[in-house]
Amino acid sequence: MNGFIVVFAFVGLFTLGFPVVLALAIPCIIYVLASGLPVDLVAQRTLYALDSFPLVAVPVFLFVGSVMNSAGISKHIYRFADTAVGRLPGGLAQVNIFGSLVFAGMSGSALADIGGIGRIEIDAMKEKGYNKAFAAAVTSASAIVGPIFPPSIPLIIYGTVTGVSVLQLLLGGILPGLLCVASLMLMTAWLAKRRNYPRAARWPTRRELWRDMAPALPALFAPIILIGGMLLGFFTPTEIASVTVVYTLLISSLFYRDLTWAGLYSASMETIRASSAILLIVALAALFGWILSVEQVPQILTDWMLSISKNPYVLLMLVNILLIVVGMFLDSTTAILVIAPILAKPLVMAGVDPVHLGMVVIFNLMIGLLTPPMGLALYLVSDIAGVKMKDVLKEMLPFYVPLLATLLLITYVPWITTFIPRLVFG
Amino acid sequence: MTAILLILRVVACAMLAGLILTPFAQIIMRGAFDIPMAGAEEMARYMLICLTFLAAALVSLDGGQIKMEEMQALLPERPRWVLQLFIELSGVVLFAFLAYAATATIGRNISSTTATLEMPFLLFMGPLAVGGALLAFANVVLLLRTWQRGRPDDKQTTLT
Repeated sequence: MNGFIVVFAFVGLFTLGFPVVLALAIPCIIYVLASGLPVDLVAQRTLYALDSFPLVAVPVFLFVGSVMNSAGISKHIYRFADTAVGRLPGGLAQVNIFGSLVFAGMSGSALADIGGIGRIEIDAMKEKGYNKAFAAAVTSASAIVGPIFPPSIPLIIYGTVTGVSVLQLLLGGILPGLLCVASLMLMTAWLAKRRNYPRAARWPTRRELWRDMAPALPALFAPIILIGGMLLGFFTPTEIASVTVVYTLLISSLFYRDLTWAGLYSASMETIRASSAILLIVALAALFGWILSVEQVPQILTDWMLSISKNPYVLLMLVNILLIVVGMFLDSTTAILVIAPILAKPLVMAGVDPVHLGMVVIFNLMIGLLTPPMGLALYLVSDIAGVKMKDVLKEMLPFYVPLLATLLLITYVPWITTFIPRLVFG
Repeated sequence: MTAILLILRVVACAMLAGLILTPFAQIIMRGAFDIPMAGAEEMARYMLICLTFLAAALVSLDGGQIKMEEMQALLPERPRWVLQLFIELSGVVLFAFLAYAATATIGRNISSTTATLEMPFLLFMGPLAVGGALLAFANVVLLLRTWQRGRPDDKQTTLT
């Protein structure tokens, strides 16, 4: 019972506007003191939560996204995407989605996508006469590919808190990421035909394609190095993160020559702030998780869920409904830390593959970035595009269809997630 | 105050650089020279701990801690101001307690060392004690700012 009081206290404080760190820590510390437990427990649980090598990848991958934006690499990716897919129905909207996929291959954050390449894409779409709200909607919908396709910060955090292999999770994100992009492109093409959106007058010649691809090539190599390194088993995810940063810094300073010291400092500070905010929650959530375990909250929920059904598909549907609701109200990092360890046990006991479950959880929570009242991607994109959130939301409505369809496919066809990890790890 | 912030920024940047370079150096040493660096992983983990706790005060002062103030914004101005004061006060108490807990733990394990690098426990747990104290201090600053303003801060939802 005490475990549930801690959970409700967290929800209450968070809703009142307490920062997540305080909302998590206040009930936990009161619990520790009221139970007469030693204060060492608070310090040790908090500190040892961060004593994890896979978590080192979080700031490092965040830094890649910041450097790409500071060094103007996003511009080159955008230009290449424009030439490559600008002729498809939907023109710049397709460029927007394709650009997000390329960006996703280097950065694991949806916000880095929106704030970087998304900003360029929205401006270009506005110039070509696209509806601003539509441009904002496409940008935010496609940005969620970032945390699905490797590298992915939410998947790294999920793997760390649930003990699932981060490498397998990252590899498992490749096909769902591509599927998500394909479904968004299909919806965009359909909308473009109905609304008669402009597109490039003709397909590019080989020469034109090469002209715009050549400057983007060093950036395009980054995802190849990253995924290749993982597939061949050369590096751990943290080492891959480190290689990607060094590579990004090299191409930014030697090839693109757009990275200034001021830009590097700004990217560093942006990374430090985001990393510290996320990881402080990871640290305090460890104490929260420990209390829930001691109070057998996961066990009680496991028994309850398995009493409803032992069929993994029914349980996965329940998880989808629960997480869509959770994603509307909780920030994704917090949701992963609080919900994932509780949900993982009953689902895995019912026979769901842990890597598959991880992808279902993260995809749900990323859709949560696009749903009010806590849809951060919507807040950010409204701000960048200079449109009201309700207008963006209206234009978002058609995009929920491909996103939910992809979610259902990922949920009920586990193969989409598990194929590549099984191919590599057997 | 400015000097403390400058030191924190420099330390945090150094930790970030270390976080990037340590695993990279490990790859080079292992792949090119076949000499794995013993303790590289432990060093990277330690720098992650330092980065998180030492930079946390900077995040708090910039209003960057993750929170949702949508519901709070529905309150009238006076109760919202009181609630914000209470949140900042609870931050002072909580982080001061965290610093105390870390200090007490260090005191009880002063002769312990870490596994590979044999780092003294004082050094290992130190970032939590210092970070907790700095966070408490940052919350005092925020509390004073809110008190002096005499009205609530504008709604500010910060997420990742």
